[in-house]
Amino acid sequence: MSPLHRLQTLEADTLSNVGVLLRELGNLGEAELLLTQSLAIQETAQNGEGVAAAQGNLGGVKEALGKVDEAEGMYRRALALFDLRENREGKDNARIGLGNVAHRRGREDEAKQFWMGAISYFESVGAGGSASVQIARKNLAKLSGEEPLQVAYARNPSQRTPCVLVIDCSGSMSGRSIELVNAGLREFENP
Amino acid sequence: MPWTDADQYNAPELDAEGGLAFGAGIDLAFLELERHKIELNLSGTPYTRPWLVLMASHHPSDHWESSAERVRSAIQDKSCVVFPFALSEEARDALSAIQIPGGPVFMLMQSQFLAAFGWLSASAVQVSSAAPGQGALLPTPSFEIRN
Repeated sequence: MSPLHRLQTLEADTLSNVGVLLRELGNLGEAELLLTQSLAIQETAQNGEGVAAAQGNLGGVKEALGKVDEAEGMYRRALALFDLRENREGKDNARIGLGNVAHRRGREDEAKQFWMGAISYFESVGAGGSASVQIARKNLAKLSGEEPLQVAYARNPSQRTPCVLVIDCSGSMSGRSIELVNAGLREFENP
Repeated sequence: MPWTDADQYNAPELDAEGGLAFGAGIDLAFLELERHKIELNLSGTPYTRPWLVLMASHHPSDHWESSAERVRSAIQDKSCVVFPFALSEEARDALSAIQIPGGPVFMLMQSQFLAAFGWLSASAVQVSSAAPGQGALLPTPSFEIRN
């Protein structure tokens, strides 16, 4: 990375951090300004990951400002870029945003699709507790008319067979036995 | 590990050490099953008879007799289906006390673990996709079953 490029990235990151902070503080107008500048620098520097992140953040601010169409454009571009870069987390953050704008536009089925996909990803990586995921879960629950805990059932209301395993993990299982049990447990991942 | 849907399931990595608190394990399993059934009922999600899979390598080291009694009555009430897997003769005796008289206890060799889990997984798919109220025929296990 050249010194100029490094400086640009640093400037863009700083603008972005201050922008996000201002958004949290409720100063949306200035947040939008700084994030727009940050995005421009990232684009000039052709920093794909930075562009996607800036678009995602800017989308959030525009959404909060009620600029729903602009927010949607930002989220869509962020989603496409993150998708290209195979960045699951970035992609699913953008999907939460897209769910929000679809919801604002009354496209409820689309909102549900975006939210459900993103929520199940964040839950699968143990990040189901983050603020945006919780809000999405609550909104989804409201749309579905059900309790937040029931989101998975809303997503897939088909019949379940509850299955509990009580497995001996005592000392006598150590070594090859527990290794084989662990391999066996992985059999359930792809039934 | 918490309840997860089959398509969200990620296998845990188990470590083996200490004694076999099998009674405590069974009690916890029942507690979780009851909690889960409430959740399913609240959401109106249909479910088949729950499965309880037990796997022991030797005699339990805690007070497991009342837990065994609980398993037997659950089988008799048809409130759950139990699959007891014994990894030794000693475990087989213990699991026979947990199973209802005449019910199967599957003896497993180490080399059959994978086949047994594979069979359970395939059977779970068959049962959960069966029409509500209809029984499902389980696939024939590829490992030996000795009653």
